[in-house]
Amino acid sequence: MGKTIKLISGDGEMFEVEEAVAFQSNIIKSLADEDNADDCIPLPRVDSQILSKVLEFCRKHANSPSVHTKFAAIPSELCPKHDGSAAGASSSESSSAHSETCRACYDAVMKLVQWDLEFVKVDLDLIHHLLKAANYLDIEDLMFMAVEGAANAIRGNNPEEIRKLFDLENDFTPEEEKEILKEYSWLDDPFEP
Amino acid sequence: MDAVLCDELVQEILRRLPSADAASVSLVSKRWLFLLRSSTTSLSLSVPPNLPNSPSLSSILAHYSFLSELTVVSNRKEEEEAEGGADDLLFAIASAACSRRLTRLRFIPAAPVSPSALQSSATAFASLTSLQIASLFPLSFCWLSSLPFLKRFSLVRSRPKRRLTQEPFPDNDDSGGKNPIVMLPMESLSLSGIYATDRGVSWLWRRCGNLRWLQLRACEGTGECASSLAFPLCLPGLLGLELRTCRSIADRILLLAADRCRDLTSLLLYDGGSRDALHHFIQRRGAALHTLDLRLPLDLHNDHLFAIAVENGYNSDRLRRHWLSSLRLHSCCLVTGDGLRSLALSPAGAAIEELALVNCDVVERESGLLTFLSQSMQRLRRLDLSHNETLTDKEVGSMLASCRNLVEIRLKGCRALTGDSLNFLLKHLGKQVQLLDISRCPAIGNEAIEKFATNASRLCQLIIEEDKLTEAARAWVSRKAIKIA
Repeated sequence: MGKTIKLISGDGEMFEVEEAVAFQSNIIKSLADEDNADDCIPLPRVDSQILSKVLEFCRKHANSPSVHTKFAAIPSELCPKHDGSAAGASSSESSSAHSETCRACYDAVMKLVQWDLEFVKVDLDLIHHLLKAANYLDIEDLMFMAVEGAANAIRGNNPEEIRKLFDLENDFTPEEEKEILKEYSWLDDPFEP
Repeated sequence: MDAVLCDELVQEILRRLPSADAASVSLVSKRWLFLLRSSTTSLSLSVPPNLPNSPSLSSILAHYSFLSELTVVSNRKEEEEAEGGADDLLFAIASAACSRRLTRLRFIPAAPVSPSALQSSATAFASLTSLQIASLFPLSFCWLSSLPFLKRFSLVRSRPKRRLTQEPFPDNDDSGGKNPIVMLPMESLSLSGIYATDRGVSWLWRRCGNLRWLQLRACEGTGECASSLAFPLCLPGLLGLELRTCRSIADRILLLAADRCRDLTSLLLYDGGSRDALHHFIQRRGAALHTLDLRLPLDLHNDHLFAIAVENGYNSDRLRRHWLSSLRLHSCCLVTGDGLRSLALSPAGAAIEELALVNCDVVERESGLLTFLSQSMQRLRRLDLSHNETLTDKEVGSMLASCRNLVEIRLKGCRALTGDSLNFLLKHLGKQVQLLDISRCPAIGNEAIEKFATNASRLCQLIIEEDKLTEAARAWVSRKAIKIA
């Protein structure tokens, strides 16, 4: 077991997690780097319900390649098959050679992709909170997926449905709406030649 | 619920949405509308027929202050031909807030725009580097001097229904010789529909000393006498030349280019260009070519291929860099396997990295030809066999078995291909293929595509119809940032 970090949510609950998990957050990482005598990091803007969801995500991602990584960049330490075996893994060339042909890596990333997609198939309320938490804590992968989750909620919906989902007010008058629609009839589909 | 997301987060989400959702998003709330518009950098508009109470171009452009690319297409024929409405549209764009920031503008009104309107608006388009306009009347290019950063200019001039009489334009006449001729910064020029009687083009030809790339489409001439004499002035610096459907001038230009285009490395010739002129060009300039793109159904013969093999292959200087690296042939039905085989066996052929045999029935007629070519062309990396409608899986499979270095393959419109071809591709090149085009191949099933997409480890781009992607394929593709087109 590696070093652990203690996090305190906005409503006072304490979470103890491994460094690798907590350091998915660039903010936590930089706060921990400062010389704190007391190794508890307070996160006043995230409450316990959300923080536990965030940590669930981080735990899953702690030992997996990032969503954004192109396969060529997966270092061999993260491969489930070549568990820490350092056969020439010091040079970046050999690690990229490894990952391009490693079936285990692809399967692992594919599984992670599916897990991520399920993770954000939750109600928009939670996505909201995850978005804000990911932004506040600067967790790149969670940000990416939360944005994806929010975009999924919008895709294909009409304005009223979108408003309901995001709890927004319609501040347009009917005349204004008509104007906007007229304007939109001018916009081209960019995929037409 | 404190659900207010900050502006940056909302814009992040909006950026992830396809443009089809833009209309819905704009009607959600005023804030979202503002955020959507201010994050838009590229806009394409079609001006509809003028109805009462319809918005104006100015009012629409006022909302988009951060544009760097703009396309405006107008279909208001009758109005524009009567009132000079094309100029008004141009002025509307020039006076919009975004005009100063624009780097690329495509302006396609239904009627010609006037050079004086372009001259007056030029100061507003201070950052423009690329401009495409539909048509210009009268034909004068002097306003180009007022666009100091313009590197690319394209005139897509459709033939007017009635021949408009050409007014004489004093600026075009350089005979005074008092002012030194200042070269335009232009490096890339495309002109369409120039007649042999057009004046006003010589001004342009004289100032294209910096031109690196020239495209002429459907031109019957390069302008009247003075213009035609000035035309060769634009040739010396050219690196690339394209002649599309310029049947009456292709030969003359090929002969001029053979003489003057010392640095030409790329030639495209579609639908016009005789056997002899092309032969002469290859003999003079073939050694320096590295890209050759030909669509000459009636004019390309095996002897041209032999000539390329000879000229480009002859190498007395070991250090020269100008190997033919890209050969694209379209609809060249007089070419047979012999011609291709001899090219493939020559040193020039051995250097070819990109080969296209689009709609070339030689590929279907002569079984085993493709395999032979891929065995001889060991450096082949990009292959385009689009629109060969009777090309079989078997041919493709046996060819792929011999391709060591292929990274791109295009099989668009090869209607006889089935999932077997994808399996062959996976088997032989699964670990290296980066781009695949299998659009318009109705016989290839969705499962085969999913299997390919999820197993081709280096795939970066897949050209396929959206509805042929299963959900699993879609998820994989978005995670790996594989572009779908």
